[in-house]
Amino acid sequence: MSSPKKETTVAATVSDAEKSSEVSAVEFPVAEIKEAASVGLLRYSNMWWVTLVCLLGAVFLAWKSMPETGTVITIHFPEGHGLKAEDTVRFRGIDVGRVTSVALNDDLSGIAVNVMLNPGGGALDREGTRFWIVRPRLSLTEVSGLDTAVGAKYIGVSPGESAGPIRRVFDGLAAAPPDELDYGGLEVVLRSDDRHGTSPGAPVTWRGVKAGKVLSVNLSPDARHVNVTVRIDRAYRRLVRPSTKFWVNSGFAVDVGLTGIKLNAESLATIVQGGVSFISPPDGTSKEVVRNGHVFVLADAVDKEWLKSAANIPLVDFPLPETVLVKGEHKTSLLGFQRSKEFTQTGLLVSDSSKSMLLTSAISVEDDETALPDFQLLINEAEPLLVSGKRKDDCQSPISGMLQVEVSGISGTLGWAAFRTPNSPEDCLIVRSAVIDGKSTPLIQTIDFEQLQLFEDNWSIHLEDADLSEWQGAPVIAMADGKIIGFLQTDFGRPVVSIYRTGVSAE
Amino acid sequence: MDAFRACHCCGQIHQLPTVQRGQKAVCTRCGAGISMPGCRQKSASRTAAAAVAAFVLFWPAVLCPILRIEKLGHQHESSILGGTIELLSHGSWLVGGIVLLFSVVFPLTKIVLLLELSLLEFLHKRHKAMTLRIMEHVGKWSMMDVMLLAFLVMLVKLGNLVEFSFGPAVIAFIACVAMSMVASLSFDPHAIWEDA
Repeated sequence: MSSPKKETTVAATVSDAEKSSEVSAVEFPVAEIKEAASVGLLRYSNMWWVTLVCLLGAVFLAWKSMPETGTVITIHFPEGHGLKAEDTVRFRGIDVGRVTSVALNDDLSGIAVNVMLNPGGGALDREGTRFWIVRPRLSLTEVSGLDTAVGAKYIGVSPGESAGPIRRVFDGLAAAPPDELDYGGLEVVLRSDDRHGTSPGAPVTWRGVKAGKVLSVNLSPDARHVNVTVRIDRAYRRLVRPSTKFWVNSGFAVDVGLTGIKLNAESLATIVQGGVSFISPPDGTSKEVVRNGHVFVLADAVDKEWLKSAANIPLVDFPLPETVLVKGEHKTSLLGFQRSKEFTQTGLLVSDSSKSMLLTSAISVEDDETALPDFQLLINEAEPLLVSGKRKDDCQSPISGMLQVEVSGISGTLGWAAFRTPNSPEDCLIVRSAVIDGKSTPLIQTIDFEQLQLFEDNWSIHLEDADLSEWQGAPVIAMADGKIIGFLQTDFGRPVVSIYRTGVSAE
Repeated sequence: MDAFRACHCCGQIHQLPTVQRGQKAVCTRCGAGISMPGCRQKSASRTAAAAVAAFVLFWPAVLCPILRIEKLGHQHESSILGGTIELLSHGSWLVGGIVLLFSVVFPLTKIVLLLELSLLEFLHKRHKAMTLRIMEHVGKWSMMDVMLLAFLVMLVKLGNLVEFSFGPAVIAFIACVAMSMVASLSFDPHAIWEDA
């Protein structure tokens, strides 16, 4: 009953208001009329263009935030270690995929992890790819996966052959493969009567320097021996010969005498984990190669005779080219002040039938200078040879960044036949000579192909812990055949290999 | 045409003379524009355009991932709606409800009502007036813009602790806020009472 009443009151108020406005109408001023910027014919606002842009933007954003679809693979693991959906798959430290789901196998025998690999993530879905769950490991010789102790677990990957057949289902490893990122090493088996305290991860040393590690310690199938599998790092695999002796050097020796107590231990790791040492007695000219799986005897103690007769096995099978030392001083001017700076770099003498050439890295001279500074050549213990009066323009080498100086009165042992053009980065070493105890001795530094990267026409070198500034101008020699494939240069402070290209010898 | 019109700026009431095309009536006291032929359609059209834009942008803003948080290797991606639903499913009814109401329901209501006011010309004036009143109430509680501020605060506070990045929804979100502001600014409530 109340609603019609209310309506009438409302109506009354409205009519009252109208009345009152009529009453006072005269008191209100008349609004002014002004010329306006015409609204024109625009019945519709320009704002609709903005709407169109917004519509396109919305569609684009929605499309962009669609989940990317990649290859989906399934990995079976015996144990989940707390892996969850949304955890990542990492290769070389970056994400290459994502766990979409983790489920228990129907027969409870393990877990199945569905992983979506990022598109364009390379060929990881191939036969031979290995997966494992990274979890923290802490041992005396190794600390790894610490980021997973508090953070999320992730799946590590070691790719198989990129040309292999595609697979969608994989069996994951229970633990990280010990050889991850360490290809090309040598795996041999050491047979022993007892474990002698060795354990996986223990160091394998040569003259006290770590050259590999113990991969596993197992009982032989007939339970009569202990098989210790060790991996020798690639750089040292040439040290292992068929006659190589391996022995256990775990623990430490204590000598109590009248003069005091003498304690002898290799390292903390060998005390706790046990270690294996090896040394190769001279085996003449034997070039027999030890292959993976070769079985050696693991002795329980070192025989002093082995150490005495240990061979001086070079890491390379080929003769190293003789390098010369190039010494001199060049003038630089800084803000008008002249000053001279000494330089020492390595050079290489190359001779053909008619002339001898010195190949060394470029010597920096002022732009307006046409003459090269004088320099001395130091070859072995011979008298230094002075090279002077060379013009810069005559000494340009076709090898980028190199000088090619004709020298007389001296001839090298190398011909152009000792050079080769490399196709892609390969294992190599650089050589220079240094004077040790008054004798000129070649020094070498090995460079893995993985540390080389194609950079413009040359290769840049990524060595984390080595300073190569001493190696300026040193020849770069291929490990495979001992040919010279280039020279070491410094390009804006970064070491690069200026590679040799065929046709240079014709110059 | 109504004979009287209050200036929306200073409140002075005027008698409205006949205004020709290309002219406009201005307030005698403060000089603000009061009436202009053709303006009504244009204002409605602009409001409609901005409201449609806001409506279109609202969905990616709410549904696309807006935040990507990486904390100690744990990655988490969430959208506004997804985050709200997560809150609700975890039992935080109050917080989830508030976020859902003020960041999703009210802004959407406001946009839809603006659309209704500006596009549907056949509606009765009284209905429009009611819609306007509802919209003004709802608009006060539509707190989309506040959320932007919250993101900024998070960005400043969590800078070094966690890795934190915005998803594509942020762009849609900002544009949506801007568009709905333009729409409500360009809406002229007088237009409801003005005859075509």
